[in-house]
Amino acid sequence: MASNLIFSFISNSFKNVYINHTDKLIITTPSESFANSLCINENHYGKFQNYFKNFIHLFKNGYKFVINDTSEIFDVYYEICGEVGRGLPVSDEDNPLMFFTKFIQEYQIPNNSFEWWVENLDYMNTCPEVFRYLFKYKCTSPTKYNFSIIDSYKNRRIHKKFLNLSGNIKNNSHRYSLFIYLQSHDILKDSYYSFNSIQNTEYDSIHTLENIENVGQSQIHLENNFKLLGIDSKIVETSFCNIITDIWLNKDIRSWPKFIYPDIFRSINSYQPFLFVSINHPNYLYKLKELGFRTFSDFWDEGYDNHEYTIDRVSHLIQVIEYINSKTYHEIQQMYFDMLPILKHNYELSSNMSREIKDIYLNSNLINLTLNK
Amino acid sequence: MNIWNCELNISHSEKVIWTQQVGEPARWFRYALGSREICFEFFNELSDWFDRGYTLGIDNSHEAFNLDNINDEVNEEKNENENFLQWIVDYENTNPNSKNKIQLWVGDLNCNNNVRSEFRHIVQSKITFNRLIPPVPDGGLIENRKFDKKFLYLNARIDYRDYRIALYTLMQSFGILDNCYYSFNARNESHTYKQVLLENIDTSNLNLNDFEQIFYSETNDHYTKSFCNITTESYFDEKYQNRSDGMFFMSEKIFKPLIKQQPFIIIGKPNYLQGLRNLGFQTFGEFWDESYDSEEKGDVRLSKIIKIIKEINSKDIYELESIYSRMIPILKHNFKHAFAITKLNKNYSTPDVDETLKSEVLFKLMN
Repeated sequence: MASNLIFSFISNSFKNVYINHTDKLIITTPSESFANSLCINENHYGKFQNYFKNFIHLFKNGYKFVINDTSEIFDVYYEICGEVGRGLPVSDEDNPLMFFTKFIQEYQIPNNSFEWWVENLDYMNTCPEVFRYLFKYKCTSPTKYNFSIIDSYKNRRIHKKFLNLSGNIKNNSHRYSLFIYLQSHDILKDSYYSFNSIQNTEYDSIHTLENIENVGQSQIHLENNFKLLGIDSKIVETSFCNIITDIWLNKDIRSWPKFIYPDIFRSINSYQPFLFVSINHPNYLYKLKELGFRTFSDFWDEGYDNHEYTIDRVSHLIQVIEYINSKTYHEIQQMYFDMLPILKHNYELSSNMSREIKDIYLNSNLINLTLNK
Repeated sequence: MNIWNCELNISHSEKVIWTQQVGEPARWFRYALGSREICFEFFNELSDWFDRGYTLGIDNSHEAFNLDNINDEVNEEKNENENFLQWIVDYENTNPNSKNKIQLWVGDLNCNNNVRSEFRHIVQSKITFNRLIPPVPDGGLIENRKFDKKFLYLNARIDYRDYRIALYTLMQSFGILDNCYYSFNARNESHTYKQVLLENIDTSNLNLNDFEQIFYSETNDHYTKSFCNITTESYFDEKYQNRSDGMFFMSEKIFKPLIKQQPFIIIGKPNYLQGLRNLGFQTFGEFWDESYDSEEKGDVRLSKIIKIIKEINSKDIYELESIYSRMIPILKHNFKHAFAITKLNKNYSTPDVDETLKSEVLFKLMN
């Protein structure tokens, strides 16, 4: 049955392709839409073939075509090729991943002419072995929260103990639980927070992030990225710990792949410690550590991350929040300074992770190549 | 008991013929009939009954929502020709013998606010659940109750009910669950959360795939050995209110503590306690702060409730037994009133079944 797996291209997705002659890369704009555009149609391999024939001469000169699918937590493997991953019978003709192999053989180009960059940490374990050659783990998220931190973080003054952003609360019971905890225990006064700020009318409460224009003079210059994301940079500068929560995804959570949730980089790139609780997956902090990041177990109990069930993780996390909240601002200020080596390490690691990708795009030229329908 | 057996109940004394509980059903019923033609065929089947002065009730009193809302929701183009209630009006207009004799029964006691004026004669409020909860045999002996838990806290369904998950999470975090008889995700619909069945129930005779069995699986001991019922009502915030402004729906959940004679804290819509008091029930404002009830915002309401639960939890069992003994007049009043309420207000009552009749139209649809 071809209906769910036929591979076609929507021309707009291919317009934004960059070429980097230094690294010999042809690379798409990082976007989930590119992967999502690999959708269902007829004459699928024909379109694939017609498009990539444009690059044969480059492939033969050692260039690679990179589908950069790293900017969102959505994953082409699940979105497009999920049925392959779930082991359902799929004919070669219908399997989009087979097109790459077929094309490589047909045009006798190098086996490594294609790379599909994904941000899924477990990808290499879950993808069928025969396709693993195609995929690379890359992390683009830090570029979304790319701030210019100067040394003044050393003088940062904490005005609030917590930052807790919960724009979308629908089905995100962990966000709901944490907010009710903060509210019922009078911790909101010590927090910058939002709750249902996307204003889902299925809920009767809306709290948007407060305007903190008058909170002190910042010693830190951050770029405007926060404002683009609807968050004043001063919020991050003047709050101690970011309580980060991922979003529930309407998928089979047991097979949903694992990602570094992009908002973690908001904290990392702005020298802010964080608590992170995922609604779907335990052991997130472990994953971060595997990538080389350091977390905060010297300062509080991070065992909350290990529980299998969300409720256990959140209820344990509440106890950690309670512990942090019990500290005076003076103690918290000191704790922050004690954490600076960790924060600096994470910031630098994050910068390095994104540097490669940033440099690739900076040294690239846009190719405006429309697919011939 | 459901519509699948295609039987209609008949009360000769009250001249009413009505469907079995259609449940989610009002929606289902509308789809099952599916078209104006089949709907008319079903009404025609009952034409003789209309001639004899009988009224037809489509019984959706297990649920708060009514077909007017559902039609708004399901008909993207809001085509009036597809409105089930409009079909009833059209049938009435072409069959004068049925005028004002076809009703839709719903559990929303404020349903008049939620139905367009031209359909208000069709939609009627009913109270059903007071008939379904059996009293504890020691009903007259509540003075002797000794508690081993502070709360009874039942959560069968949690999907799309973040407020239930939030409260449960906090109660776990504060160690309050240790002082509860409780269930969580008992229906096991959400695989994100573990299923926790009520302790001390005999599951050997339960079919765990049968929700109705789980639904009423708690024993009388759970009620008589716990002080307070944390009652998680069906509706809490605007999630369902989108369809029904000011809805007031008493599900089986509130009749459990009323009839089993427990005090209760309601995790429900704003002004729910006020709604109970308006109906003649008494609540527990002299024992704890019930101002949560008037908080319009769900987060504020739930935050206040958490504080009350923590406050009660901080008391020892003997103190709670003492408080309970002082509540007995209220509990006895509520017990009696739970049964009397539909007698006091006949509009809310459903008749007793004298006999049943198999509907050929429904049978044809089902088969």
